[in-house]
Amino acid sequence: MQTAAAEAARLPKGFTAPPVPRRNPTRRPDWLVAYLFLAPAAAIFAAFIAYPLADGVMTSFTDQVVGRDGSFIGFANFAKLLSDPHFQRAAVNSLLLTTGVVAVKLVIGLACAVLLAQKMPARGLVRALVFLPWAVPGLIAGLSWKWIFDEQAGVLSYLVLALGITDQPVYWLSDPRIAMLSIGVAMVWHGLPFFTMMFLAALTAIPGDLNEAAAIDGAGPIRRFFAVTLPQMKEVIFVTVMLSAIWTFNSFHMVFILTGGGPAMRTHILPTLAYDYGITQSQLGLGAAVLVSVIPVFFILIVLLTRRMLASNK
Amino acid sequence: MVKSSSELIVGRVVTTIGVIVALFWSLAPIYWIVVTSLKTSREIYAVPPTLLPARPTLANFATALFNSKFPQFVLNSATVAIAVTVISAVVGGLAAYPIARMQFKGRGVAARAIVMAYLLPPSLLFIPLFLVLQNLGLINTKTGLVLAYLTFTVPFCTWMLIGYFRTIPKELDEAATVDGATRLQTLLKVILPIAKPGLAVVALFAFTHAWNEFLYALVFVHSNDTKTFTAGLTGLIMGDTFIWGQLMASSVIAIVPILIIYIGAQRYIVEGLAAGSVKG
Repeated sequence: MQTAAAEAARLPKGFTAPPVPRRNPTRRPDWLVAYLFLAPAAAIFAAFIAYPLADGVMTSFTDQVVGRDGSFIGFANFAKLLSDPHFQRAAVNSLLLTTGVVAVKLVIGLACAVLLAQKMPARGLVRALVFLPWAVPGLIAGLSWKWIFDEQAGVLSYLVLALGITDQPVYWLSDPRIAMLSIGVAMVWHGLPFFTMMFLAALTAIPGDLNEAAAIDGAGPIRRFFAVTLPQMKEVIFVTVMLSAIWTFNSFHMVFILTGGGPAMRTHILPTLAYDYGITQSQLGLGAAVLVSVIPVFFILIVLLTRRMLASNK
Repeated sequence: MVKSSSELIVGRVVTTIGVIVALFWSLAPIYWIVVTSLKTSREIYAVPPTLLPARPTLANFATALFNSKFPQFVLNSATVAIAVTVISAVVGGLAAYPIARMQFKGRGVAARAIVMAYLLPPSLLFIPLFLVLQNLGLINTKTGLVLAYLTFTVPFCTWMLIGYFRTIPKELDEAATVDGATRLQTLLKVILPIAKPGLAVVALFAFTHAWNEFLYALVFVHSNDTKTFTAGLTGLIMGDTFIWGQLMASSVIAIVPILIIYIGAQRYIVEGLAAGSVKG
């Protein structure tokens, strides 16, 4: 326990007590000061998060188009979406892509974190280079993969033919089934460093003694990883997976750049479908309905994650 | 503990192979951007593709810099990103202090609202936000784009700064209060000087987010004097022809500022990630 004097000694250089008399009677009450400090953030929250969210829900019950106010049409937009094959496909695509990409990032991210925790020459440089995709803007990551997957002049098309893996051209982005995989690969490339960084930070924070005790008891490295290391990373794995699930679902740019939702609207995810309906086709009401339809799922995810994050920042 | 030498050798071989694979996977796409940007348009479409440019040229960079709207877009991006960074650091710092330090009614609600706002994905908000900005006459303005970015960066900065502020001993505030300092004086003269590294990381992240953002830029701005480079680049790809040389050269130019930030602050970024979890 440090004394107040010791703490005071750690005050920044040049700090002198302000010349305000003690127990100033005109001083504002603490709660009022707190509210004043919070006011700008609260204003932004109210005007540009809470209000738009409520407005978006209202809009989803109208037939509003760009440039004209809509009228209330009840659940007609939602009824239309339920029987809309494009919406169904986009919902399935979103679900499969998010779970698939997050699962792959989880497994490879753990492996990468263990790898980068090993002793090796130039470890700092290797880590920085492996983390590099994270620093690339999402749009540019998308462009880069679009060029790699290019079906005429792309390097991947050339490689699979030259190496004899296939003797026919592969339609990386124009065959809907392959296109979803291609989109997933690009998303894994861009999102993997986040997992690796989070897991590596957690790994290095785990005390080594439990692991050593298990080793003395004769447990091999793989057994030790699953029995000793992994249980201690439960919390960080939970938070990382949940955060990544939200952002992966949100990866508008990858689908927009790589396929634009095509061919024949078969590679849309929900955010790109909402863009297509709401902005490209100007049907704001219908576009808003696409977004509102996923709010319940996000609400659950966000509430769960909020509780964990608040607990960890205590 | 003692490891057999065969176990050590196997470990080293596995590690080496793993590192090579990881480096190839991470760097190959970035390498391909750079190499493509240095090729002539004929060589870009050559079969087989060349691993190194046979006749390296800066023509694509010259076109991007002197013969396109790209510099204007980069300038727009910089303006928006700097405004976002300054506003989020100030507003976030102000909001984080009472939540980290003061007792008042509604503190728990405020903390929860901030985390939830931070977790809310922009792709859920872009249509309603479009309507709000339209009503305010802020569509196709940089101000509108700045306001839109604040919906993410302010909750994020506040959340990160709460964490940083909590690591500072409470006794410092108490000592300042006893000496008669107001809360604002305490925040400015005691807390912020100590939280400077944290503030720097938070500012870097806010800048990076605003610099990299694509969806809001695509939807909310559309003229040459408001478009950021992300929205501007899609102008080169929306048509049927893809101007890959110029696209890749522009990409290289746009990555450079982020790369400088990233290399300069790498250690802090990794720490910050572990502390608060940052959008990836």
